[in-house]
Amino acid sequence: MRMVEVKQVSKSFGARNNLVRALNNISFTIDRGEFVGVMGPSGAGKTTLLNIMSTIDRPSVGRVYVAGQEITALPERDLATFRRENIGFIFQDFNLLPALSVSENLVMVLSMLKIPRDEVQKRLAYYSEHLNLNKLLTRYPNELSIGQKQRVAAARALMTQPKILFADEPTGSLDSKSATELLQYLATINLENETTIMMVTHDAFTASYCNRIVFIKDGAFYSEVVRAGSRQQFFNQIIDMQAAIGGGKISDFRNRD
Amino acid sequence: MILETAIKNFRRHLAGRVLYLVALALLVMVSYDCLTTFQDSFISRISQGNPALVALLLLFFSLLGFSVLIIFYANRFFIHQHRSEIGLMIISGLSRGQIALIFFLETLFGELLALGFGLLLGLLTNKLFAMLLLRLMGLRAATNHWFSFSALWKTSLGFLIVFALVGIFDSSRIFSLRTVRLLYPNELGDIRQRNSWLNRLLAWLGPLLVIGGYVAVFKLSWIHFMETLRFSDRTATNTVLIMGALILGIWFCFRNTLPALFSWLQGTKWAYDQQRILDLATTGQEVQFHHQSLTLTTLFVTASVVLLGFASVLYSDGFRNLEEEAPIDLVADRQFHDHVLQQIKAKGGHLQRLAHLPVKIMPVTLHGPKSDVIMSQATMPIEIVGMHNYLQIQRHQKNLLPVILDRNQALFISQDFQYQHVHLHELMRNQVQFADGKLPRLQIVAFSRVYPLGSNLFFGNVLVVPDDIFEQIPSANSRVLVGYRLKKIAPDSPFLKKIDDDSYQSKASRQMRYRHPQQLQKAQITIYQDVKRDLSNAYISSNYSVRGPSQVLLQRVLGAIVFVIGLLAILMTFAWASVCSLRELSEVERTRFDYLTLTKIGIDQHHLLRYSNWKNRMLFLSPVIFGIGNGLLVMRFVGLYLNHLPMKLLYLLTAAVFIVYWCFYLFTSYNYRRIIKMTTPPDQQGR
Repeated sequence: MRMVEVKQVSKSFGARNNLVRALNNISFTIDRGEFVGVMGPSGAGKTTLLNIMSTIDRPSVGRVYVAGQEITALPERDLATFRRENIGFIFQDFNLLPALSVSENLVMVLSMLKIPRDEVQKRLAYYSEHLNLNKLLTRYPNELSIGQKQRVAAARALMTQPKILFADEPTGSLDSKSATELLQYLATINLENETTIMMVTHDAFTASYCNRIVFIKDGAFYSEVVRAGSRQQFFNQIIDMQAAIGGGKISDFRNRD
Repeated sequence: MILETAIKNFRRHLAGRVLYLVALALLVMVSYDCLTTFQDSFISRISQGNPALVALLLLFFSLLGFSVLIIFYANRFFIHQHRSEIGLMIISGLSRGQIALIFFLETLFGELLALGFGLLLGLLTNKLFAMLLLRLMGLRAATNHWFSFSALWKTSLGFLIVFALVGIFDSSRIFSLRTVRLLYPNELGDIRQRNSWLNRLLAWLGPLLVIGGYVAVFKLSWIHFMETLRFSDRTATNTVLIMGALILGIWFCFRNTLPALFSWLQGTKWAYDQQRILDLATTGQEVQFHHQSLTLTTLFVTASVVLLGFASVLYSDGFRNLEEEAPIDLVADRQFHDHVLQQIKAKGGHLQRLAHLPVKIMPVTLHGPKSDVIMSQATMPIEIVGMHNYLQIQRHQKNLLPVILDRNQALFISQDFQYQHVHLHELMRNQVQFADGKLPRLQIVAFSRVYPLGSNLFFGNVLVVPDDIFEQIPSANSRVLVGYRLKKIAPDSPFLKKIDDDSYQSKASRQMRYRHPQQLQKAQITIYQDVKRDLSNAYISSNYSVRGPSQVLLQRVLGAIVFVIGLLAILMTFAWASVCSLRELSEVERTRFDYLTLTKIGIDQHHLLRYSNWKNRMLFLSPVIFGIGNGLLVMRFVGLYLNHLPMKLLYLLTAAVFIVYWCFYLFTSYNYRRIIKMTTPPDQQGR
């Protein structure tokens, strides 16, 4: 079942002399339950693509379908409902609400959705347990370490039980231990709950937790790598592709082998 | 949860918003005081329903309007402060309506706190407010009122409407915010120094418009429009164009000129040798980003200085005019005085005759420096009194200039002279030549603004001459004025007010038709009595005058207007300074991590704080200095027409305006530094 379909999307910034084309007629699909990584050099348009797919931004041209709905045509009032019911988002810099405690950050959206209190508490207990947040629930964001903040951000994104989770460099600010813990957890929920995940990263190790990597360059689809064997082999494939995308064409890289 | 989030946000930001809330509370306080005083029956009774009290109502509505503006602007900075939180809420699935509600509640808590505190202050200060107003209006009465339920709910309702109105504006702004801009803020990056021809044109146009506006202020006679307030007049178009050009010029200066100048400075080699210049140059983007609020600050400071200037002019000049009025209760032309005296006596008034003053009239020519300016034409009509009679009046009117005239000398009395921008020593070098060629020329040796028996019964310029000269002047159109002291009738009684009103009616006023050919002998004077008043005729005087009612009215109107204008200017200064403070403190949320990064790469914190101080000073005080310059220039220009403008008082009040902004700058700078110092990498904070 198809979860995301990106059809001939282009995105430009600026005007006339200062026109910058961040995405250039890009198309691809993501099926339900996939864990897809998006990689590419700096300025390739990774974050712009993620923003458009997660309803943060709109494309200049093209269409995006998420969970069967064309999000590029949804009016703002319907987008709010769509986000609540379908989307979770993990940011690189966490974006926790500083005025609210950890538990308040986690339940805020659910409280406004008027979900029964028992259900909210059940989800809070579940994700606190799984992301090891039980002792942090009464603390405020400024009292947390970076790893703790990112776990809270992940729990908050999952509290609404989204159909698709978007993550923008989620391990970018984390040390390797915290990063590994988070990635393992994302891989677990991807497997167990069939939550579709799309993650933007520039790090091959982080990307190796995905099932498929979409490489983009200069705003256009460049290539993709699908995991077939072990994570180590997948990691090597990613490294190879990164080397190829760094200069020349992929065929050049293969020829050198 | 919405309420809880709003409360927590409010508590988190309270410390930085204290001065703004105090400013808001002061606006509420004065609004309540205005309404209570306006509605108070005792004050209305003792001021005899003086129309000047309507100024209080105008002040009330002005404060409401001003509140809309400052709350609107303050909330704009609050939204700026909250933008990443708003972005997060949007992506979390909260509707824009829910986010707008959280924001509205957060700001409403502060506004309600200010409203409550302001009303409490209003109750406490109401008596002081009324006493100050009454004192300025010359009413010596004690008032004990402080509570008015009607004023309380009207003030509350007025401000609640203001809060709701701004809430609607804020909501529409939240609905229009782009999510991507909120989550990936890069405002300053978006404002690139566009090297387009339009940008360069506007950068040059800004100062040109400002300078052109200043030149036009001096060259065009827009003051005529200010005097007549006739919008059909051509000068009205000129005035509007000048003001528009000045505002546009200031806007372009902040939006284009200064950023372009600073950008150019950054590229010069010598700026790197001068640390201060380099610091200044790096503020260019900040200036461009805040150009709108900087322009408004300049305009508000200009308005404050001009309002304070007018308040000080009215206070000093108006009250001096009152002091210059003759302390003689009733003055009447012989032709009318029987009629007036009968009325007063019939009402139980007691009259004591003080002195009489024969007055003659004749065309004259002045010979000497700037005589044409003083006369405004080739010749001028002048009323003449003898020195002996003048000295007789002086016994009862102590404010008359004591003067003893020798042969061929004269004293010149005029209230118009001060508007002609001629120095006194130039007037003193003028000689008076009468239309009657047999009379000798007289040298003007003294000048006074004070008329014997008051100014109401004279057309304009008066000459005091030696008695032998006075005797030789023909008696055509001559008359005798008689002064009386009035007892047993209050000066502000309705009866005297009616007599005063009647004295301005056509039947009681005199008009002079004056033809002034180039040759003095051919100039003619004709005086009409009891004709329909021709408003285009500049020569009108009364036949009788009672001092009390107009004196009382003038004092009360002046008192109320000075009070209202001064208060508005002070509140405007305080409230807008608090908004400027909010602007800077909302900025620190964005820049504090930049400072942290700079610290991490090895830049001394001392240097960073020095730079932040410099930047704050530049953004906070440059529009204030610009505004003060504008205000003083406008008042100086007015001063060309009003030589008596008390510039010293204006300079003092202007210094007070600057000190208020300076204090707010110190508060802001202190908090800004505190937040920068407190900012540490998140992993270094306590867990």
